[in-house]
Amino acid sequence: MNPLEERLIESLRRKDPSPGFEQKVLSRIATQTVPRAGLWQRMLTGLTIPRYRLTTVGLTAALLISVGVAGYYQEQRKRAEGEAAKSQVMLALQIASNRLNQAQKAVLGRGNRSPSRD
Amino acid sequence: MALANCIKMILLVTVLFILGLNPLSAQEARLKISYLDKLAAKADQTVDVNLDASLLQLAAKFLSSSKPDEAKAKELIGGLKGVYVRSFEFDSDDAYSSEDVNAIRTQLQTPGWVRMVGVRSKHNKENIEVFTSTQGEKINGLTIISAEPRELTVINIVGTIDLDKLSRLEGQFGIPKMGLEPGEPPRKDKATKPKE
Repeated sequence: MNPLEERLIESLRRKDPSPGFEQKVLSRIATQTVPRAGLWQRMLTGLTIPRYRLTTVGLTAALLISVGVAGYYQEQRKRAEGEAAKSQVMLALQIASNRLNQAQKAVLGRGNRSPSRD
Repeated sequence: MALANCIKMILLVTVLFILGLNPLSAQEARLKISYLDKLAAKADQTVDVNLDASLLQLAAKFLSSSKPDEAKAKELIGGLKGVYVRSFEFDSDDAYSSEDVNAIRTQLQTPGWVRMVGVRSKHNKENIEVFTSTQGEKINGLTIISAEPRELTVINIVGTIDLDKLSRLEGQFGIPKMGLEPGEPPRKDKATKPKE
């Protein structure tokens, strides 16, 4: 065994801590205050994600918003078409009913005046 | 064997022939009334309704079953395949020609169409004609031509329609009555001003 090895063994030999060492360590930890991260700091920490992931998230969000907006406008357009069609139906049936009754009244009126002719 | 096949073929041809002669199909019950659109330039008021089957289905979705008038309309359009209306109100007499009306009547001279009602009043110069096309016992087409000196209305309804229900609809809608019945006083708007 050479002198270097002997010195190393001597230096690294297990030693029992002095009495009260554990207590000293714990008390020092307790006295140290860890500064709490602020709101902005925590938010910025959340953004420290890789750029490619940020891009993916952004694109997905943009896609979802686009689909949502397109769907909303399509629904609005369909609703407008439906309401217009409904108005047209009501108007057309009103006119048809009116004219049909007009014809019926005319026929009945004529029948009452001269039943033998009809 | 050959005779049996021949008889079958003759029967098939006969059936097809009978079907071919049968009253109008829904498509044939549709008239060409778009050429009347030229009258819109002369008209004071125009009503132009073009509702094909898809638009009628869409409208049916927006008609409420809880509102009585809309529920009746919804029920009525259930069997329809098209509703087409052209109505023109003019400021003066003779804004349209008899040829305009005759062009409609010509289309109604095809087999299947029957003139159900024809009323002509010399006093009021009103002329109303109601034509129907039937398939079996059902009416699958209705055309109404109402021609007055200052007003021309052509209504073409394609599909199965109940005339009783249609006639009962008037006055039940939220739309005010048009005041066009014979004998009623004319409206105050300029389209139906009394003759001077």
